[in-house]
Amino acid sequence: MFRNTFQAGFLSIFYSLGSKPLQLWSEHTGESGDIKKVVDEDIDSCVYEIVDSKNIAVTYISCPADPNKTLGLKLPFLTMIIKNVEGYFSFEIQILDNKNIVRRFRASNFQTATRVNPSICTMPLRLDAGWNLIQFNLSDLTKKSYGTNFTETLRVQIHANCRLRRIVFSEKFYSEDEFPADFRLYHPVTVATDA
Amino acid sequence: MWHEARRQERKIRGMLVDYRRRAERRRDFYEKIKADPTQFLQVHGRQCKIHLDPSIAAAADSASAMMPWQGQADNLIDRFDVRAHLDYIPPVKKEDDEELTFEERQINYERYRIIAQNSFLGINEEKFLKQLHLEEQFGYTESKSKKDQRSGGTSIGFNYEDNTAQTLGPDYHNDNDSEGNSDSDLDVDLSINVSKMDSTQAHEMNRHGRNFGMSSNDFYSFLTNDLEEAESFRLAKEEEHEKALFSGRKSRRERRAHREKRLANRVISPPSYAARTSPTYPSFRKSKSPSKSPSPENAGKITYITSFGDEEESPSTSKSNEKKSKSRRRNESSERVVYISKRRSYSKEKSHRRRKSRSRSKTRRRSYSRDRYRKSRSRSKGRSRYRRRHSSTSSSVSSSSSSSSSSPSKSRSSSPRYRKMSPPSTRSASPVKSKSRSPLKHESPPKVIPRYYGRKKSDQSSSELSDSSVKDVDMKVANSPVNSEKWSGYGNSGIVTKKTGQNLSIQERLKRKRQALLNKQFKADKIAEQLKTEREKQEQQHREDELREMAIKLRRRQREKRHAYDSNKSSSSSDSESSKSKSPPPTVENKPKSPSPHVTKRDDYRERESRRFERRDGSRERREHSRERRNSRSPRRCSEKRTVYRDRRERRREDYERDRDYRRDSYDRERDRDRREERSGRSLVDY
Repeated sequence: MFRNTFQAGFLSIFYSLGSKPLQLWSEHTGESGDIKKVVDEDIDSCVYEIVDSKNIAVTYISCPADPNKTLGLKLPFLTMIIKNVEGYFSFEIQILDNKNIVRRFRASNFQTATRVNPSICTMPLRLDAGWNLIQFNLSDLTKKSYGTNFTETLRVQIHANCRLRRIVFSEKFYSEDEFPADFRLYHPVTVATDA
Repeated sequence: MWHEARRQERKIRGMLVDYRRRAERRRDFYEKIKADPTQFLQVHGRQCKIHLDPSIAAAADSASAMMPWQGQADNLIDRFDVRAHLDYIPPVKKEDDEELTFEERQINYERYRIIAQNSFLGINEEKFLKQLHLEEQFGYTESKSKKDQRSGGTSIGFNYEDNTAQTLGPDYHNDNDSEGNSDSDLDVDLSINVSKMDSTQAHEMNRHGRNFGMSSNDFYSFLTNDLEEAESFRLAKEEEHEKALFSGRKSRRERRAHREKRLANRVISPPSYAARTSPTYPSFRKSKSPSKSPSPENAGKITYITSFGDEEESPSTSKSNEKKSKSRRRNESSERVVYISKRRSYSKEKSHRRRKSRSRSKTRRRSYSRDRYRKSRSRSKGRSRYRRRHSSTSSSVSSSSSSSSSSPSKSRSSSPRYRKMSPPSTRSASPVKSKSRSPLKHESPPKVIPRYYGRKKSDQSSSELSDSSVKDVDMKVANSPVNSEKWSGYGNSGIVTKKTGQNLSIQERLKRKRQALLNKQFKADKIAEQLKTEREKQEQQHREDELREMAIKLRRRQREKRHAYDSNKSSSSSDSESSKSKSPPPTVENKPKSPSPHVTKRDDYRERESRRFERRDGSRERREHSRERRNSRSPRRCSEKRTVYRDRRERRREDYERDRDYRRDSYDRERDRDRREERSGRSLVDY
């Protein structure tokens, strides 16, 4: 989708405050799953919640929406702002490496050991309580797990049991304080004044 | 002083021991924490700061943060949103999930195997995550307690810790854990012992797996696969560890022993050509094998080399034969390069035979002069150049095309040489022999190793080629040598083009043409060389004859001179002086005429020696001889003498004379020899 566009700085693929945050995403819900917009009490702001108490495999959102399309984002740093809701949680990023092989990186909080298969690398994911900032370098990850070079991101898939605020790709690594204000978490002004 | 030294020594020794121990400890430590580098690939979330600063909130909520997408006021997007790059977002048509491919199922297994397992085991999600958290915070305390429990022999489904794993029966539970601690890095996540599962359990497990994007019995089969993989990995690791034990320069022997042990109980698969008979052309092999078989035997048939060793021939032909055999051997070596796998066995045999024949011919011709060898060496240089060229072409062949495709050209290039090998003289000399051997080749079992690679076409052509070459050899027995040479030059290539001409590329044809040209050139060179050697030999012969003549002449002249001296002596003693002084000039005269004696110098010397002895022995005889001759020449004077000296005095005088004669003779000889030596030295320099 974005392979032929100029990509620099930040590219956000999800922000919960927009009008249609899931315009590019496809929603998949299982029997016990739910994807909805909620107001998070910690930040008093709208976030998206993906929950499934039984099977996280069937409740997820995926970008791009069309399964036959790919993102084609070349920015290697991925930043996600996600709330840990005490349940199984998993996300997956599909990338293309310089050998034109599709690789998948899946981080799951129920896993303890990393397994590297030719097509998928499953990693353990550890989250702190509350809101979490997840940042990693896809280029580095590709290099370390497969020994190849990262070319572009094809697909991002977020599975159940989390609250989602933002998913953004960036050109380089930014620490939390270097992000623009709207990338951070904040209490709304009204709450601050009330407090 | 001594105490001081001892103390120092002890200190140093202590330090050494310390270092060694420290190194050991360090190694142990690193060994303990050693892990697969991929295990360090983990994703960790950091707790996010929630800003309470109103300025940040104001900035984030400002109007500039959001903007409408494509001017649509109802669709506000973030200022960094990727949708800004899109003009149009196509609606996604809902597709029904199609059948999962095997790869997808495997990926799903990788994705969800742990939660599938947990679902099978009925482990609570929250509890599982909590346990993981605990384990990571405080280490694997739980597994130890479990182990203690198991060693106790009773399995009680109760634990003081909030152990999720204990909620299920111990029969399911991970027996891996006991050994799992030793190789804990294998599969920590898996807590099922798949190998101890019965079919109902497996079925149950598969049912759970189906919830997670796996179909039918995927879960179980993938799990068992995993187990096998883990096992093989463990074995490989063990082996690696064993190998590491024997590291270092000192334990080379141990390493070797280890390797040999490993190789000893290895099941060796048969070599490729033996193991697999090409399934693609069974009919072809059956039909072609009898015709193929002659080719090696035909090569073996080139035994006229052995035959020429036994026969008595004129030296000229035998010499050329030897040279030919040499050149052939050279060709052979180049061929061997070409024929790497194809006909190694037969070429070896051939070369062996050739070597034998060569050695025989050598022994037969030991007496040849040295310069011939020198000549041959120079020839060999030229040949080697040729060979190099040839080999380069052959290598280019092999590199440019696959071995199978290049095989026809190879066989073609080689076969003319076989033909060439037959020296004309031997062919004419022993036609019966070669004929008698020809039936043998038909009887012989097919020695050609079936190649499982290679195209059918090329195979066919090569086999037919060999067949045709057999025919050619048979024909050649009748043919004149010149004719056969022509045959080898062109006829064969013609055959080849006839057989495989259709599917040959231009390149190959060019190659072939070049080969033919090369062969022609080679042959011409050979003929020229032969002629040259012939001429040289004749020259030498001529020279030798001349030399012999000269020697005879010289001897005769000397004898005559002596006789003249003798006769003079008998008449007057004063003349002897003059004759002595006179004697040198004729030999001096001879000097320039002397034919290159440096080669035969030694022989000459020996001859001279022997002659001298002979002379010494037979001087008396000669004396008598000469007297007789003298008598015959001048019977009148002789009769006079007889009449004059008939008494004992005369006898005594004769004796005396003989003595003196002998002395003078030896003196003469000595002088002669000196002169000759001088001459030979001179001639050496001249050469």
